[in-house]
Amino acid sequence: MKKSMIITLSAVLSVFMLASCGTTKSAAFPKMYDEKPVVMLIMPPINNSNNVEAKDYFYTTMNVPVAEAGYYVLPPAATLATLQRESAYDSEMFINGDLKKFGSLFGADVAVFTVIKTWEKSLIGSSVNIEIEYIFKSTKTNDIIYQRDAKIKCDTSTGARSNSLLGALIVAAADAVKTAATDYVPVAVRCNNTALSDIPAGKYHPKHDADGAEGAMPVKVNLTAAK
Amino acid sequence: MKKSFVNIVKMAAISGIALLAMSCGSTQLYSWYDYQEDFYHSFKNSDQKSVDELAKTYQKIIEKQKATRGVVPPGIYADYGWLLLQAGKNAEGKEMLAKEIELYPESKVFVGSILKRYAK
Repeated sequence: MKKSMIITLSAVLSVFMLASCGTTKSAAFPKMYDEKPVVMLIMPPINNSNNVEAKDYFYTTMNVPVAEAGYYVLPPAATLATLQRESAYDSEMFINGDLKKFGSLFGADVAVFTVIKTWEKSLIGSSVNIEIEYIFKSTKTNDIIYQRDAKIKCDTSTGARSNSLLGALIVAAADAVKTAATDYVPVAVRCNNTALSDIPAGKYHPKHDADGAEGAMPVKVNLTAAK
Repeated sequence: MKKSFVNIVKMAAISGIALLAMSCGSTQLYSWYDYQEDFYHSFKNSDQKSVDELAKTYQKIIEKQKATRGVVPPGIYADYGWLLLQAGKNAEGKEMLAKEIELYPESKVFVGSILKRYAK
């Protein structure tokens, strides 16, 4: 009987832990629920990492998770051309400035900034460690309405495993080659999906205005993005 | 008897967690196909091959939406229209931009400004 009680309790606890991930979305991001933004403008990422390519990986993959959260995301190719035409490609000039012009020029309610802090391949090549901050700022008030500062370990291993030492070395070498030649688009995709999984639902999502009681992650998190 | 009860609880716990994990899992609003890969390669290389691949993917996204909303995702008509305008196909490009505004009226400030530039 004792054993069954322990199992029941641990099952209830697991469910409870899964359901409540700390604070709620409405408590963590109240301005998202007050302002109810619709139009999101993805700004070119600010890249402080050693990987010059990281900026492109993130710019070309950011619109999908935000659109999937239910928002209207401005067309990234046409938007970027306009930002370049207006000499506004450098997001560092705007992240702490007045964003109202993005409201008038693009009709954007929110400017989405990303700051790539670290992009490091592990030595054996089985993962990429990324530190990235996502900052959603209102173009009406310049306030931050959603923020995530995430350290993410992204698995890039081949998936092969070996019990022998020689086999393990071969697998490690294969992983190293794969990471060197990897197309990192899927890494950026998984990174975004993992870090932004708690954006409050937007206008086009069935949970719009109905997910305030759902769990939200803390602003600063350490995550693992498995394959 | 005890053993079977334990098994039932175990099964219930596993199913509960699996169900919860499933319900927490995202149901996609849109079908994107290879959009992110193709957009990156076209963005990075700007060569005809990758631009053509992206154009094909835009067409597929426009024609085959199998996800929950059943409509073209935000920005796709507009970016496809933009690509056509860059290729000198102004009539088709403007048609796509107009479709973006029709489907997403909130895009009018920006997409309308592109249409104005290409009005002549």
